[in-house]
Amino acid sequence: MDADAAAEIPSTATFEPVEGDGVGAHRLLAHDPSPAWQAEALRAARGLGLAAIFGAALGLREGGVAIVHHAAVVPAAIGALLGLGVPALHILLALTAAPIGALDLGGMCARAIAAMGMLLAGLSAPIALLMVTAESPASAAAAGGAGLVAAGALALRRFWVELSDAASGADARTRALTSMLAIGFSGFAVLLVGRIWWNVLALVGGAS
Amino acid sequence: VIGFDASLLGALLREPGEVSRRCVDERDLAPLAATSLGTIACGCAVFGAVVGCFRGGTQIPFAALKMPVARLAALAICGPAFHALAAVFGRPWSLRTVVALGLAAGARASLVLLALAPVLWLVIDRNGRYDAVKVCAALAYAFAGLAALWLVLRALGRGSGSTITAAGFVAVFLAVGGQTAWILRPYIGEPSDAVVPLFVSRQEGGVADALARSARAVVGVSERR
Repeated sequence: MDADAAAEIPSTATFEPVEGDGVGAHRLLAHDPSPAWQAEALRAARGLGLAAIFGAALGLREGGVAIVHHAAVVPAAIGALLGLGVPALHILLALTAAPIGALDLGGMCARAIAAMGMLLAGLSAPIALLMVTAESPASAAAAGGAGLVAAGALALRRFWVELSDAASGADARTRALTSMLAIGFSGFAVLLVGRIWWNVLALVGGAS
Repeated sequence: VIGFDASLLGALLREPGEVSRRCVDERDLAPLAATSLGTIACGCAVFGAVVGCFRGGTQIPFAALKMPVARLAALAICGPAFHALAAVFGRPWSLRTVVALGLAAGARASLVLLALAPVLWLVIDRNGRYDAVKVCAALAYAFAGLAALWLVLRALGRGSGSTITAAGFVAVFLAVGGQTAWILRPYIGEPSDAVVPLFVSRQEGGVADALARSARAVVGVSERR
């Protein structure tokens, strides 16, 4: 098991996809050098669509209308956060004089949603298997909940890192205020999205 | 015609770094995939046959057939999840790369299972109890899983996100692999069953619960079978 060989394998920083379906994933998640509202909205919509696949997999436990119901609720909660939380965050960031424009913030949100959607869509097949075959409802709920929590944590982490990077050129006070706002936004996101999923998704305790 | 390339078996065991690089670079994946598929089928079938020896008779071919099916089904279901996990943590590999890596890792694990099959057979031959055989088989699977994980870690390299990506791969494969194996049980056959069914339809909790019960029984915490 030579250590040198491992070091030669391309790391995250050096990997550049050249062709194949990896390019689609790269485009969905990477920064756009010339961002535009339409492109970022499309990216977010793709992320929400991918998240709906996971929702449909969750609904397989009950079947029938529950598939459509779960497929709608999973992305709807993220949409609610976009509508209620992000404009408020933008106003507060502007108050702190953080050098982050509306399009920058929209792009960060879109990339975070795209990453979340991609992970949720990838987990759909394993979750569908567990939903259909798990003997215990608690096991099924735990698996579904774990997928949602993991994807949500990934999205928040990605958003946080990008927000911190964008504010890195500002003065110390602005950076500190931006970090505080990021913490507040994360808490709001967890409470809002968690409340919607918890109350509406039958799988995790709500009523379908 | 893409066929089985026996020379790749040595590479799978001795040069996991080279095999993982080949997957990431998408070089000559067809023979690697074909050889890996054949290795998974043969290695798991032999291990399954040995597990089925506990009851003998028709349980031997049943277990020999079900083991590779469970492994390949788990890999197929995990493929999109591995693709997504790699992409969101900074490695936007193609699905070809992810599938090739999964097959190569599965083949490496199957070769380890093949190596451990005689040990398990000896345990069964020495009148090993049901729970002891079950725990031994699970330990063999765990050891094989570590061999597979090593190959995947070489592919992930040392860049940022490699640890969390590997942890995600392991978590997803444990859940899916455990569930596919659980669906296709029994492999050993409960001693209390006069005739071992092809598939168990009664509710028995889950794979983790069953393994914990057997582990307790082996160390004498619970009642002995």
